[in-house]
Amino acid sequence: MQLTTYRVTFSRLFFHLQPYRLKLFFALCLTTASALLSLVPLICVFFIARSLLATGTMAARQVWFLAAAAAVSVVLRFAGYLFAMGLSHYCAFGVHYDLRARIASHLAILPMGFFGNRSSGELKKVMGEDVENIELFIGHYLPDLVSAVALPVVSAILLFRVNPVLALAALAPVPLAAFAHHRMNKIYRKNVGNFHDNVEAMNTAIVEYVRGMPVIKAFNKTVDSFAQYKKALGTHLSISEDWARSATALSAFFWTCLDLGLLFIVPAGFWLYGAGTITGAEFVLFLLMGPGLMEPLGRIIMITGYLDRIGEGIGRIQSILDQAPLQEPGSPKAPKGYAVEFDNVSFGYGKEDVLKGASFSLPEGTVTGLVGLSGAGKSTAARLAARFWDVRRGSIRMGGVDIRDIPMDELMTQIAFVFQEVYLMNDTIMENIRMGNPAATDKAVMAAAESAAAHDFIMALEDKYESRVGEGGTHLSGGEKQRISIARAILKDAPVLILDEITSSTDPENERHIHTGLNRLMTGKTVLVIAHKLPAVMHADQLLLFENGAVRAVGNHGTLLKQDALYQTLWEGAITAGNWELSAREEAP
Amino acid sequence: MMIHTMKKVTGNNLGCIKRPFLSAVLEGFFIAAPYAVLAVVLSGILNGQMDAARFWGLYGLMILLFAGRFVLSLESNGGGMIAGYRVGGFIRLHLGEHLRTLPMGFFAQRDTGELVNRLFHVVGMVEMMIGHFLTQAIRNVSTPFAVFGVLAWISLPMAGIMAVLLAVALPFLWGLIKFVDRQGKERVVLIDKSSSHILEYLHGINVLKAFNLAGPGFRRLDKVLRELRHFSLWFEVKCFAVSLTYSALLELGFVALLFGGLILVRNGKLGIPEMVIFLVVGLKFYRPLHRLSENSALTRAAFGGVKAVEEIFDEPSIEGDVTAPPPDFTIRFEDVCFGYGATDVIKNVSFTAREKSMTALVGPSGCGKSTLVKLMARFWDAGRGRVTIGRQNIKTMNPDALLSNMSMVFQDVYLFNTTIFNNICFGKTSAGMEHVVAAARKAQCHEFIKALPHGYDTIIGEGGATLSGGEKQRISIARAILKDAPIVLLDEATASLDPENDRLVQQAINNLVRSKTLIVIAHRLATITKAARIVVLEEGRVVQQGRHEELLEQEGRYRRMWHEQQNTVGFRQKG
Repeated sequence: MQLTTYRVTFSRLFFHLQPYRLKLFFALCLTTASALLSLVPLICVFFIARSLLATGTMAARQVWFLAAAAAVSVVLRFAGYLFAMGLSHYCAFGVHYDLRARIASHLAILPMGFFGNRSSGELKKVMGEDVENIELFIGHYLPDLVSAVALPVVSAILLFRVNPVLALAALAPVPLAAFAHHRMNKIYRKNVGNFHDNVEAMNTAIVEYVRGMPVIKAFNKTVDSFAQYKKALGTHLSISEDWARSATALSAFFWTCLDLGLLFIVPAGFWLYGAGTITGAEFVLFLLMGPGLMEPLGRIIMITGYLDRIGEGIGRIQSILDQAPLQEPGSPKAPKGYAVEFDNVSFGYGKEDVLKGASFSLPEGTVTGLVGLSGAGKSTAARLAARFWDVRRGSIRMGGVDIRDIPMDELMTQIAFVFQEVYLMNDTIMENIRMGNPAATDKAVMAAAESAAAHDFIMALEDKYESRVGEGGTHLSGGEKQRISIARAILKDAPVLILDEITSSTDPENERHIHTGLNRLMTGKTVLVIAHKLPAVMHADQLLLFENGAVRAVGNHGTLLKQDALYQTLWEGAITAGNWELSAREEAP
Repeated sequence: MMIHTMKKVTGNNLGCIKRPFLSAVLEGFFIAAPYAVLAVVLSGILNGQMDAARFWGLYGLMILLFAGRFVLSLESNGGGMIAGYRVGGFIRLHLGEHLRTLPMGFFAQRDTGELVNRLFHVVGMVEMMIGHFLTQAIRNVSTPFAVFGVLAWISLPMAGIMAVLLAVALPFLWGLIKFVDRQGKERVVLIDKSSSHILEYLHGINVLKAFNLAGPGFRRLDKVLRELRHFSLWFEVKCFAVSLTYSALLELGFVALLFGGLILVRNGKLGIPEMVIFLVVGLKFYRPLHRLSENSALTRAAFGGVKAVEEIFDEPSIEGDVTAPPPDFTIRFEDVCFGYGATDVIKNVSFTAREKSMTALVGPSGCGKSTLVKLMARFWDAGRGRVTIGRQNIKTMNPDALLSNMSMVFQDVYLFNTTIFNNICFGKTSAGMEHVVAAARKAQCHEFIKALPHGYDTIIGEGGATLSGGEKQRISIARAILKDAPIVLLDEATASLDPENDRLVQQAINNLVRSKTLIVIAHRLATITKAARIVVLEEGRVVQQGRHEELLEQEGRYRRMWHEQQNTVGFRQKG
């Protein structure tokens, strides 16, 4: 069972290693060779001991030869190892980079809906930790593992050839160590899940403690929240201490075992030497090589411990790479015109449909407002028009062509989408706006900013258009960020414009400026506006009133107000919303 | 210096590492000791003077030494691991306690969640450092020390040669440590940079695709990833170059000993058996020293993380110890200046918000309204000038005591990942179900809570039920109603709500603010026409203040804003 998992892990890993297989193979050979070279000085000592102990002297030529061999072996060994590590790390960081790049570019062709279902933290973990573990494995663990297996095997063969009985004695601690390790592993497997769960719980506690700090302080709950955190910490300590305690004797025994060869070699050697079966020099050889026999065992065991984690990581990486990308059309067509039509469109994120047979059209060059209660499917409809997802049933057409027959690049050129949630790159304001049209001049960028009512606040910043936004940069308010994203869409100047609740976090004054700017721009464009605030869209050419995933009524403000009860309620709500007032009683001073 | 830093981040709680570290030192001696016995045994055997009785006596001693080593390693391995977890625990505790004392500005200013996540990842490394790397490093120093004693006893001249040869290798170990310290820091910066680029890419991918920029967006990420690949490869290669030079010099030392031994033997200064024994035992001198380079590199890498934790401890704590409630709740700003960075965003602001009356702060976005509210709650402290409550400078007040007088409702609502009941209860832990329900009713959220499958026991937040912005906002108002503090701060509480929610939230707010000192930030002027005082801000300065009617009569900012808002321009509207 475990072996199959390892096999799957390795076959997936080797797939990604394809371009590096020769280099990596060479690196593994080199590490093995350099590990074996570590035996040369020991063998030289053996020859010297043999000659000296037998004859009391040694020929100068032989001395020089042995000394030179030992010295050369040392230089070769470390030079080889350095070269091998360079190669293995070249492969490791290569795979590290390849995997990240492959995931990133795969994400770019997935339907945008994919990201709705996953937290970015989850994806980040895959692109970060999981990929890093693979890098560590290829760079360090794999070469170590190969040499840690090769060295004891070769040493054992050598020792067996010299004297099998003494070789067995040298290997006597192996079953002891294996037993200790087996027991340790049992304890490990019993505890590891619990341990990690608890670390997770503790980290969640601290992150929540810190993220919620303003609230915690505002409600005088620092002591209580801290107590919760302390409790999680206490559990963590007791779990880890219990674990450490239950494994202590075994792990101490295991590590002692790795050195225990001496206790077996000495009496066996004494006995064999006394019986005349081995020479003094051979006894010495065992004393030199015996301890080295066991040492790599510790490494092997440490490394195999990592394999599970690496396998899980590769699995997660694979599950992303296996996601089916958005289907590009087999025979692409170009839209003829920019009218957008929804034809009996149904769509849902889960089992239940959010849009249920919605049909409507956005005539070219007109402004359409999408209104309705929250949850009626307005944002979903807007996103389907930009092919975030593909419809379940029905079709969406642009200029008479099904959008699934328009290449994604082409579709995205025709549509400018302003999202409710603003995304700014960690770059200058200039570059953030220029995203709308990478070829735009600075002057064009500024003109767009002016239309979006962003120019004035940008000019008030210390570095103006060169101010950096994001981490460690200028702090912008929600409304300011929104205006930058509107400027970006203005700069893109696409024939179809979709605006999703764009002025919800803008103050009335700036809202007015933005509307003025956008109105200038919207002439001749097909525009879809989703608005919470009804008055903002009351002058649209057409209003679509959404209810329960379908269009309930179509018309302009005047007709809907006359004919539709739901619209009337919404309108009244909107009117009173603007007029409510706070009424704290004032008492005489 | 390392000890100093460790003491600082653990709150001077390093005592628990003494025993395991001392055991590791002793364990090293016990690892070496059997080789002293081996030297005696081997010398007896090679000189042909070893009888069975003597041998078994010595062998018994050897077993005893191994047993002693086992006992010591119980403490150095097991005890070391436990000490590691304890030290980690102390850091977590001490860090948590320190975070508690930091001004709220610290938390509001940056993505603290991410920061703290990273810091606590470091603590995991410290647990490893104490439990494994450092105890091993200690053992790998004390073992060769003891072995050296044995070797010096076997042959002083050989030991002398060995010491001289070691002196050639050691600077490289030192160099390795310095290299890891310096380049490690650079590497961490680069890794952080790449992970923030990854996050940026993941967050922005939909926008990038919508603008046909997935390609260029990817290239931005790609550039950083390539940079990281290049740097990491050279970092590793350089690390290996230094550490392998150290190892090669150690090993060449061993080869040189062969040579030196042979010369000493030829000159009759060293017996042949002694030379052989020296080499056998000498191997035990070198092996731990080889491993030392890995131990120290890992230790230093972990320690580099500790320094990042230390920086948090250098963040100044918020001060103030007056806990008595102020005599009244009139808030005064007296010539207050404040800036987040070099430039002031609040410039000589003075105004009075009288007790049990409404004061409204209005002005275009970015004019400093929110900053003023945050100064009242001591998210930050005013740079110049002072803020007082009931004539008491809030800088002298204990922050917890100050906040016990305030309820705040923010635009960005933070709810905890627990039940709705607990979230509302946050306002007053002692409150029972009936109080919570009463508060929820007043906040207009009882109805929708009741409709949830688990009612008040519904878990919200990650992995729990998802609530709309308006629903969250009303829960946060219920929380504030339950707290029932004399001062209420409202920061654009209704800005992002749709009309239906908006109306419900209004009612909720009106229930919250009866006879309180109310400070409200409002975009829509219509909501605050009844305010006792309206403070109009522009670019961090007070440009007008007074009642609605007074301000309307004056030529100025307020009147312009009022008229602009009376006729909002919508889409497709001319002029």
